[in-house]
Amino acid sequence: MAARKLLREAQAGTEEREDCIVKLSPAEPGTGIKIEIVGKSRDVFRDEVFRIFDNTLHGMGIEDAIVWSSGKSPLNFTIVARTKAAAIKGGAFE
Amino acid sequence: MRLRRSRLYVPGNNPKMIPPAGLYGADVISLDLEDSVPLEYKTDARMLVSEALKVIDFGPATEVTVRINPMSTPYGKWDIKQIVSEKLHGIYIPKVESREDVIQVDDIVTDLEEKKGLPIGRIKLFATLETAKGIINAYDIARCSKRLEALTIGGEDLTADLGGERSSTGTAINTARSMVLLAAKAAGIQAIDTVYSDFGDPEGLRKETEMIKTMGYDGKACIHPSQVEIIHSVFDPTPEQILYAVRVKMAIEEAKKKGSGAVALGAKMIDRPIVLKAERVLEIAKMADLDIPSPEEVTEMMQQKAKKSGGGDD
Repeated sequence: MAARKLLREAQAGTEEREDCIVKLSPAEPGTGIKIEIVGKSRDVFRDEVFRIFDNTLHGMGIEDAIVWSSGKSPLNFTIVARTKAAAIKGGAFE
Repeated sequence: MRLRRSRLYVPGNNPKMIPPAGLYGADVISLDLEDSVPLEYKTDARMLVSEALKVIDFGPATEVTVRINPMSTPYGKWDIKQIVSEKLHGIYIPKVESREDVIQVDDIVTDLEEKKGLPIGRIKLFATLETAKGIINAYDIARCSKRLEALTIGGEDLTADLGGERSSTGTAINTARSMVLLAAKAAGIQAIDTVYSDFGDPEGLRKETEMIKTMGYDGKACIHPSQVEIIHSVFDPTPEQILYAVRVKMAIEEAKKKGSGAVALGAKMIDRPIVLKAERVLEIAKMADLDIPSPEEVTEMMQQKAKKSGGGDD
């Protein structure tokens, strides 16, 4: 997978039930994927959700990003989708 | 050709509504990227539907389709690129006005099927006609692609394009309904009617569905799960219709055995339109998994009926 960079901050998703907002911000090379999750699922499924963000962004070739997310019990595919949408809107594929 | 009595729209940017979409029994679900998604959420919806197609099991009986954005927008092509996948059965193309609108999608889908190692031609196309121009070109559109399986109508947009008003009688779009039906059937494909927007009016939905079924339509779009059962109850043949169809087939077999070209059922001659209708009834009954009595069961039923009435066959 070719390395990609976020060009700007962007977000995807809504505050509705079973959805989440994922906001991605560019980060300096070497920062890695830094994740902050707010919401009820933060503690219960923390490791799982962190892994989803990590895998999704690395799968898109993004090695450095600041991730902020707030959700109301989103399923995994929703988290993946919102992350990918935010990355696209953040210019990763421009 | 598949059974497409009901086509349930599912808003493509709503993660709560997508996973259970296959549970309501609709023959077709259409994950919508067009009218239900505001412009600022087009990318969000596209990726949500794309990911849903990878992991959600909508059930073996459900035809999984996506309504993309019009090809006149940049979103249309991006939608196709993201959604062409193993679990996608079909694409609804909105605002179709010419054969080129369909051929363009056909070409892109073919290219993607090749690149992704999918069987060429497996993903079907459906053209939604929503303008006067599209309606006028209906027959040309209906014949333009081997992938095209149905013409549908977009009632709200069409009414607006005509300058008419939506009404319970469907006056504004009934001419268009006839033209779309004629075009589809002449081309050998299905015709699927537009939605009945008021999901709080089941009787209105039933009346409109009965009307379009009588015309010859194969199915109807719907916007709420509660509408699916009503639509199916109209399109499904009744037990009496199924019984009659089996009797027609039995009469044909009987005539063949006798070497007779004339087929009679009781005192009535059975001609070709009746035979075609019987075949169609049994085809739908089979696809809808309805009870179809065997010839032996029919013979017994008719004998019982004759005993009760003390008379002959009808």
